Amino acid sequence: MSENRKSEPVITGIGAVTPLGIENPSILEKLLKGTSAAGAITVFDPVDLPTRIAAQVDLDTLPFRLRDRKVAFGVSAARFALRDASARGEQIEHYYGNRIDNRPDGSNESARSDARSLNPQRSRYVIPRAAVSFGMGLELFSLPDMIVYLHEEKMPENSAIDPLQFLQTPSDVCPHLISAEMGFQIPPLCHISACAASTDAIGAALGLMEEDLCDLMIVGGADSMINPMGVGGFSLLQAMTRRNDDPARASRPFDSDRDGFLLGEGAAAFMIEKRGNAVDRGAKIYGTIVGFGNSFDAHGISEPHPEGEGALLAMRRALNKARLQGKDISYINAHGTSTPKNDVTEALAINRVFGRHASRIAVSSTKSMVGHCISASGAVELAAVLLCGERGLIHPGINLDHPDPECDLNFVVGQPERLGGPFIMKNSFAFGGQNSSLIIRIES
Amino acid sequence: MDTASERKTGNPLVVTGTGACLRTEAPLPFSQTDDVMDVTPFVSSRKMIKYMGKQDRMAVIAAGRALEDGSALEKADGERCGIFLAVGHIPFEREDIEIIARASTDDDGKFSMNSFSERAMASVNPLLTFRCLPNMPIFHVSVCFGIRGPYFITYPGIGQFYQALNRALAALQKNDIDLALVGGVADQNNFLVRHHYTRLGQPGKKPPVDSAGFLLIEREESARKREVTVQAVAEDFRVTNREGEGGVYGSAFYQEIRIDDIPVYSGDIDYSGPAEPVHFIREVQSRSLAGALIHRVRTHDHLEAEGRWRIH
Repeated sequence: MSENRKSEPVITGIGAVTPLGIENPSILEKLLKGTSAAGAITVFDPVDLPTRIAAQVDLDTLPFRLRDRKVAFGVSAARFALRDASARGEQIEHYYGNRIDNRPDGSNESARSDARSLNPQRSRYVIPRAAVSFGMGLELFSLPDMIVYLHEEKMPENSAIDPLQFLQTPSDVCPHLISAEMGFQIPPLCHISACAASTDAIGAALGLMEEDLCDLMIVGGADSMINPMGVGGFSLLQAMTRRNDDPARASRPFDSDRDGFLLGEGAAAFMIEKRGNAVDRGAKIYGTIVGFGNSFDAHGISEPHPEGEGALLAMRRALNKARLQGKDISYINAHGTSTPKNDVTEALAINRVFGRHASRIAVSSTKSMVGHCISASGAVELAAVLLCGERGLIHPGINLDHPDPECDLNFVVGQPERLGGPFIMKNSFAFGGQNSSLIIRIES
Repeated sequence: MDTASERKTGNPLVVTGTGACLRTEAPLPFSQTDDVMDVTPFVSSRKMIKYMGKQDRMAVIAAGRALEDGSALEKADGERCGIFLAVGHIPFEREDIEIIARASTDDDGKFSMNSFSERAMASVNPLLTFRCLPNMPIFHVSVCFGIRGPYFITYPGIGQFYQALNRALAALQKNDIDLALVGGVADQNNFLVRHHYTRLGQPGKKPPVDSAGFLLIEREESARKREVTVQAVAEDFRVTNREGEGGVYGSAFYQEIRIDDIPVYSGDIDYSGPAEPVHFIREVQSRSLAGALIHRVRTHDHLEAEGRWRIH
């Protein structure tokens, strides 16, 4: 194996907390069957909000639970990724970690109790050249807490709630918790580029590994906006579907009858190692990160560039980074939100980047099943792509009954299809004009 | 995670522009004047101003001043310029939140979903969403200055400024970009941010203040080609995790500044958020204190960062 190949960043573990479930085999089965995870919102009572449906995660199934759902999702997904990577090769901690019998602070496994902070479960190992890179959602406040807080501008006396969980939990808590749990010693990176955040976080692994700053990373993202302020805010922007009576058919990326996105939530985490180490560890590899690019639209605040300029730049940068041509890409997992403007612009940008090859590239949107997981969307959707890719398959999009003539692409509909080649692209485009594209070589 | 400039290969990374926007009284150990928050010289369309929160305006002003200072306001190639930004904790504006909270409260003074759904939704300022998202400062900077290059946006503090700087220097070293706008912005004179520092511990003796700052960084070769003055050389930077403390956050916050290895200030410096290193550079420049500026910081989130700049 050449030195260049040895240092390629490969994905060896997947942890997913999705509206379709939390176990990889079961998520895979539902993706291939084209199962919608949409339903009535039960996390809170939406009463008469214009949108009352979403794709929700069952918090009770998770090994780590907090009031702030996205932090619970993120930490749980990271634990699942560690478990998956360790089950598919020598244990990560044994291979990379230096065992600590006594921490400098005198503790062994657990950190000392500190009422002012969340208490991470601490690893018995430290891994010096390891880092977390996570895309996180907005640190949105709880309205019931806010009403209490506004009375005196302080937390109520004798509150049973941990101070870091009252009102709002800072989003950077999540990558810090993961880092402390895993014993990673490089400071975590927290990306906040909205719907592009987790794709940016995954793409960062390519740079950090290339610069030889890390040997091991957990990358991904987590988000939940299924709360009154989140659903209310998106309703005000008229961005979400209002197909409340037919949740399973509400998310319809690229369909003529789409009327906005279905809100989802969740997290996904990936264990990233250098190929040389992964092979030495006996790990099974899902794929290799070969290309990444991000860009700005530098255009409107709430709508994509009409010619898809920003999306085009991100895709071209990813192709350049991977030293690939358009014809090398066999599948695009689209951002595909099911909003009137995004889908047309994305289709246009894909056609501009890939030209005549565009008609040969298979395209589907995972959001048709799991909704839009906002800052976690890129990670959750990449997990879907990789789980299917390991079987040599592409999951279909659902509810694409009447493809929008303005979205002229080669869609995978109804049934899974065979993956036509090893290179796939994952797109994520954010409200605010940040665009991010990843290219993965699926391991055959 | 550490990095160093390319000075060993004869192509250093240099600062050719700085810009700041401070809304309040001097946060620094040095003197600093009050500032004007007029964003109009930098917006392409005045209608965009209504979408801007305080943090967005500060970021645009500081970025515009850095580009202006580095003679790159008009001439920069937007596709070859990247933005690398650390923003502070999210500052929802109290007035907006009070309206929502009042309209969501039932007769017993508690949150009611019925009230939220019926009354609060109708009373919410539709621009609220635009003004509170943490990726909006970077959006406004990109739009105002036509920047379409790569980006890195993170939060919430001074340690993350060094992470943003690290990503910028890497992008310059790999020739992915020609210009990097690296900065920080934080609207900290805000009730939610104050709440955060109450539970975390305040970094500094006085309440943290609002500020934004940007550096324009490029390869020396590019600065020479553009015929702009090199103001400082980016020498060495380091960000590490401090081991041995329990919890996600610790209590220690410490900063130290040295010029040519002589301590200028240490201990509790009043905290102006992730833009703080930019202000130190500007202050040293304004006092004509050429030399090696070393900034060390230890933050609540267990990061230790060190930056070394040679100020011209």
